Amino acid sequence: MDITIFPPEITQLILEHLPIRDLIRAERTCKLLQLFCLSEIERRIKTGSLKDEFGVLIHLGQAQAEPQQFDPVTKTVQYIIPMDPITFNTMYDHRRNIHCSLLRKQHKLDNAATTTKKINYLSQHGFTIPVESGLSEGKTIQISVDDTLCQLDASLTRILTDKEEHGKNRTTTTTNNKKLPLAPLPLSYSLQVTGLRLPLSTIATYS
Amino acid sequence: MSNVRLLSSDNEEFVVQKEVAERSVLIKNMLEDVGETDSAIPLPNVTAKVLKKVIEWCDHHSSDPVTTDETERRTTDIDEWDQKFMEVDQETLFDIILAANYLDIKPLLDVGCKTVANMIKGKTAEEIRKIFNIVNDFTPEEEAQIRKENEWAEDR
Repeated sequence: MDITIFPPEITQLILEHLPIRDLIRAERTCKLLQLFCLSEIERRIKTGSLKDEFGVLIHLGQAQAEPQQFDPVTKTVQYIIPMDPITFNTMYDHRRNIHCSLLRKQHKLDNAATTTKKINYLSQHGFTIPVESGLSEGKTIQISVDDTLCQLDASLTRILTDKEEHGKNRTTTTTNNKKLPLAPLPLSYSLQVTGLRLPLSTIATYS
Repeated sequence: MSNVRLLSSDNEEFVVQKEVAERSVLIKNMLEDVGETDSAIPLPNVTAKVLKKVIEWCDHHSSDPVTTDETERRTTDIDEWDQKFMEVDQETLFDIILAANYLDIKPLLDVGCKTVANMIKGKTAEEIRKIFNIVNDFTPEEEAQIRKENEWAEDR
């Protein structure tokens, strides 16, 4: 008796009980089962149990990753990160790394009595976004981080410095305190994460 | 306690307690529609062999509370009795699943689907094909391509 005798709703029910790794293995059995397996993976990621599974911590800001598209050929999932741009300053024009973490939902609550619906995320994997020196003021560049567990796209802008404002402060300081500020004008950057891609192998771990 | 008569597709009659029969939403609705009746309820999609198994399951679970939480019902593991109950040949297992779907007995359908899922877990594509008599309709090139894409999942 062939498993394909089942009506679609039963096949879907069976596949709901399989971890992603098993769905991927079952994909190669026949074309019909391939369709069902890929459809179940997509459902689970976009609307099912894995919908709010991932988040990212960029510098000091955290956001939940929202799944947008599952590519059945490359087996990657595209997420958007609904997050305001992060600004940071450096005193000198030098290369620096912005520390980030791929976050994963904490499934078991430490305190069973907790009733809050807030999702707890745990850092699963750390990576960095490199900010190179030499970026001129007002310029925006696109950055792609190709890490082993995730790929991230971001746009980095060096914010225009308000020299006039700084000069005014400097004058005021000079007049009132008779002191000249020695610190140079800081370099300000704005970092906007535009997208995140996770391979299915990352998602399949522990799911 | 009143009894209900059920008639299988191969014309075998079963007399079961009403509360046992009413584990099936289909039968429950039929009984509500026709009211008190002495006539047997025909079940043209279920053979006597399968109906006997289904009644056995309904009888054992007749006092179970009805779980309305879909997630809870689907994520709960199969209990020991159900595991033993599902130790049948594959054809009977598939027939029980089809009967549970037709008779609208969701907990039995879940147990059946979980049992099939457990048969797939940890198996390679070749093993799954062999267990369920699935014909490989991929061309060698298509299969090689999928195998390449899914290399990470192949090792168990």
